Order: sequence, then structure tokens, then C-alpha cells
Amino acid sequence: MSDFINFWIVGLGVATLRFATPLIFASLGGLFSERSGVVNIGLEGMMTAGAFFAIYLSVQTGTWTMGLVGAMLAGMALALLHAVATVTFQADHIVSGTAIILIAGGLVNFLNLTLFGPEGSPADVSTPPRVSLGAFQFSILVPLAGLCVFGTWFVIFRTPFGLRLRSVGEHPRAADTVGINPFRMRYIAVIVSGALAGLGGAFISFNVSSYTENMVAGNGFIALAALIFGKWKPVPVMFACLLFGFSQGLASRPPGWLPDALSSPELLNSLPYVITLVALAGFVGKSIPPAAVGKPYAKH
Amino acid sequence: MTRRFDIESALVPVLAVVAAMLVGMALIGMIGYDPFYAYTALIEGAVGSPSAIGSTLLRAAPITLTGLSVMIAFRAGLFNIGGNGQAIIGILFAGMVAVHAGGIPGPFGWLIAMTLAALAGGLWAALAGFLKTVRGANEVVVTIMLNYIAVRIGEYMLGLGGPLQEKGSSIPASAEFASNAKLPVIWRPDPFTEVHVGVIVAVLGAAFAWFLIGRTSLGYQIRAVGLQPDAAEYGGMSVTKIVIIAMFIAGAYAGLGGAVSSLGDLDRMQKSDFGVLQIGFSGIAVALLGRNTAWGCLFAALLMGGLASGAVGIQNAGALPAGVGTKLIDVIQGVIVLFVGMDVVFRRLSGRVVGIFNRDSNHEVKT
Repeated sequence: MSDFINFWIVGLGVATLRFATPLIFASLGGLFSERSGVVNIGLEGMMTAGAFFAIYLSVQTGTWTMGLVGAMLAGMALALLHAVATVTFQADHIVSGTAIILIAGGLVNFLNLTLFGPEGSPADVSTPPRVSLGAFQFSILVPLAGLCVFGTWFVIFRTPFGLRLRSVGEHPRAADTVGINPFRMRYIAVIVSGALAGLGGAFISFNVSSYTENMVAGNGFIALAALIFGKWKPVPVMFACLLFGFSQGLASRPPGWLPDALSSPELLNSLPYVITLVALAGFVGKSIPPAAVGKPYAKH
Repeated sequence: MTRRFDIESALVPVLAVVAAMLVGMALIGMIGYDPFYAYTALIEGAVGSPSAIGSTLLRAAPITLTGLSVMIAFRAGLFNIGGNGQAIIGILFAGMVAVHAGGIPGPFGWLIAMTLAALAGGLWAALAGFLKTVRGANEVVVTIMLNYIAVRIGEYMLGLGGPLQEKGSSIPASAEFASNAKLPVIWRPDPFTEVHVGVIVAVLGAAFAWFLIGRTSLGYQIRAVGLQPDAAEYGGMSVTKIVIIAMFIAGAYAGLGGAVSSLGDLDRMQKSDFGVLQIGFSGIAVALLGRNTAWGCLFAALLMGGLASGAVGIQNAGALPAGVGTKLIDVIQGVIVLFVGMDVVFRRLSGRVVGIFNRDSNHEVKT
């Protein structure tokens, strides 16, 4: 019985939170961006930048808080680039997002090799403290992610700023007519999204106290999937992330009673994507994005 | 539809490449190395010798095909970001044939492998076309999801105990490809560089795409659906059918690209290959830089292949710390995509360049 509790409640619970937390940060970032009308498939790249700069600044300054700040700033810098391209120069959002992914991946690994050398980052890195709750032990970034869910819900649905942001994502021209500046709102939303994605990346690298190439490994895309699965609403998005985190957790430690055919970690790992496909195809409640998402806005 | 040669739109990619190379120079300078020495090594590695040219061609072949894949989907109004997944499915099917091809006579080994790769990649992509038109699911997100599902399928197939993993081996890889499934070598500039028939496949692929899009009624329908789906539907075309067919063709190109890279350059499939596959993403860069034309894709792929091969030149010359050259090329590729995407800026810039030579012409802005 205690084995059961250890495995199911503690082991899998901790694994779920560990896999879900970066997804929550990044998908909330995506939520800000897409609610304002800007598609952000560059989340993956912004997370990669966050993962590297968290470690780099933590090593340089000796404090993990500076690492977090660095991760957010790195994500924001890439986000700014995305905003300049999509909002000001009306580049296709997907094209710009693809560019962000390529640039972030190249640049970060370029810097990793030149700043840390082939051996990678040093062994002793200041990382966020862990808190324990009964048998659970996790990084303080986990509760921070929970706070961000609440904060995002509050900002998007309970403040005038959030109302403006959503209006720009649904009908920028109407918003413009009543004196809301769609360009400004979108810049802010995209940059916030970069900061959150950076935090998500920081969680991934802090979790193992080092940066390695390709460590973000598609988490930005799963976050995008969670955003769609959660229908662009903070709390459902969080649950989507927990579900996806759970399936990754399960894949990392397949329980013995699962039939062999189902307990392959690779197939369990593909669950988030399959679930999202099914959701997208409208088989379990249609996901409808903000009306103006992906459409460049130009003043006449 | 006659296409007037539009110098402005041809200048945009050139300016984007130049600007991206300048960004690369700044990066090299930033870490205290000599950008001119590095770029000399890059050019040496790309076109400086017969083997450099061979290596450029080898790198250009698969991304020509994935670029054509993205281009064809673009023409039908779809963003095929799923080249990686389609390539992986292609690799799996080609590889499945290749490990068992010993009994197949002569060149049929690789021909059958390539054909199956194209069909499988096509079906994988057609699924996205189906979900798009019949179920209204956004093809960008669908193809991204399909990419990762394909990665997992590949890792499952080649993982320990997986269906394609070599029996009795403890390495997560397939058995070796039969020799008649490997792409025949057509040119050997030095003992280490074997230019294979994939290069010819790529050129034929571009020619076929040019013919298909510009000279056939299917191509006309694809373009019509891409430009104005409602009008196409009103004109009697089935948008659903055309989109699914276009995605099938796009996926077939990507599947072929995967097969060329696998059967051409490798001896077996490995589990670790799938997660790091890049040719689908490079295909996006190739299609954008090639301005969504078949021959443009070929040129763009040659340029990108040259950059990738040049990174090896940088490495060999020690012009940058070990491994940094390829990262630099990744950045340059990304910046090119960004700049081509920010078309408006470069259009204005290239308009000015053209304007210097041609002061009183009226430029039509084409989209």
C-alpha cells in the first residue's frame, strides 16, 4: 500500500508538476500573445533562450534570482523582435515565429559554446530553493506558476487592460476606433509572453542545474497545444498543462500494470500531441481562437 | 497568368541574405574572432574545391525537396510546417524497405524505397489537409503536432525492442541498409565525398514542381485555391479535394527529402536521428528565400547547402571555436527567414535600389 502511495501520489505527482510547470509558464505566455492577436510559435525559441540565460546569469552573478531575471529578459528580447516583425512590419506570424526558433536555437548554442566552452556550464549553479509540502518536494517556481495562472486570469478578465488586450485580439479596428492603440497593446502582450516563456525555459534548466543543447525539446510546442486545448482560458490551460505533464510523467516512469504495448515511453509521450489533434479536429469541444489572431493590422 | 519579371521581388531575398551575413559578421566580431577570415573559410568550404562543391550539393538536395514541399503547400494557401514529420515518416518507410532490400534486384531497391517514402509522407501530410478542410483545424498547429507524433513513432520503432530495431543488438538503431537500397553514387570528387543520385532527384523534383504548378490544370487549381478559395469553389473546384491533394504532394516531397538524406548519407536509421532532424525547418527557409517558386527553391537550397558546407570549412580552418560554425549558420538562416518575412522593409529598400537605376517607373506592389 505504501508503495502504491509512494509511486502514485508522490512519485507521479512530483513528476507531473515537474513536467507541467514549464508548460504552464509558456502557455500563459502564449495566452497573452494570442489574446492580443499575435500567434507565437516562437515560444519554443524563447524558452531555449530562457533556459540558457538562467544558467549563464546564475553562474555569473552567483544568485538564481538574477538567473530568473536574465531568462525573462532574454525571452523578452526575442519577443520584441517578434513584435517588431509582426506588429510593425506586418510579417506573417508563423514566418516570424519560425525565424525566432531558428535564431534562438542558433544564437543560444553559439553563446553556450563560446561562453562555457565544450564542457558546458560549471557544476555548481545557484538554483531556486525547494519547498516541501508533506512528502512533496519541489522548486519554488512551481507555486510561482500557480500564482501566474491566477495573475493571468485576473489581468486578462478582471482589469481594463485585459479587456483592451482581448478587444485588440478580437477586432483591432473597432478597438482602434474607441481609442485603444492596437500596436501598443500587441507589443506589450508579446513582450509579456516572452518573459513568461523565458521563465518556463529557466525552470527546465534550473531543474537539472545546467544548460544542454535541445533541452527544451518541443516544450514550447506542447505549451501551444495546451493553450489550444485549454481554449485560451488560464485555468483550463493550466489543467491542460497538468494533463500533458501527467502523461510525460507517466512516460518517464511507466507503471508495471500497464500492458507492454501501452507502456512504451515514446508512445506515452506522444499523448499530448494526439489529444491536441483530437481537440483541434473538434471531436471533443471545438477550440475557437481569438477572431483576429494571426492577422496583421494596418491603419488606413 | 503571365508573370512579369519583378526585379524588386527578386532583390528582396538578395538583400535579406546580405543583411543576414552582416549580422553573422557582427556575431563573429563580438566573440573576438576575425569575420573576414571566417567568411573566407566559409566560402572555401562551400565552393573552394570539387569536394566542397560536392558537399554543398549533398546538403542542398534534401532541403530542395523539403523547400518544394513548403512551396507547394504555400501555393494552395497552406503553411506546411510539418516537413520534419513527413520526412521522418518517409525515412521510416524508406528505411524499412532498405534493410530488407537485399533480395530486390538491381536499382529497384532504392527506387521502391523512395517511392514508398513519397507515398507515406504524402499520406501523413494529407491527414493535415483533411483535418484542415473537413474539420476546420488550423494546419500550422496540426502539422506541428504531427511532427512530434512522427518523432515519437520513429523513436518507438527504433527504440530497444522496437519493430525496426536490429534484432539481437543493444543499440537503438536499425540493421544496415542493403547496398542496393543506398542511393547510387554519381560523382566522387575525393574518397570521402560521394555525391549521390539524390542531387538529380532534387533537380528533377524542382522541374516537376515548376511544371505542375505553372503548366497543368491541377497546378492552376492549386493556385486558384491558394489565392481565393471562395472564388475557386464558386468556379466549380472542390477546395477540399484540392487542398488534400496539394498537401499530399507537399508531403510526398518532404518524404522524398527524408529518404534522400537517409538513404544517401547514412548506413542505417538511428533512434537519436529523429528529434534533431532539421530539414523540414530548413525547407521553410528555402521556400521563403526562393520566393515560393520551384527554381527559386533550388537556388535557395544551393545557398543554404553552401552555408552548411561552409560551416565545415570554418571548422576545418579553425576560424571559429569548435562547433560554433554550424550554430552561426543556424543564426544566419533564421535571420534570413526573419528578413524575408519582413518583406515590407526590404521591398522599400529594394525599391530604392531599383529607383536609382530607373527613376521614373511606376512600381506595382505585388503581394
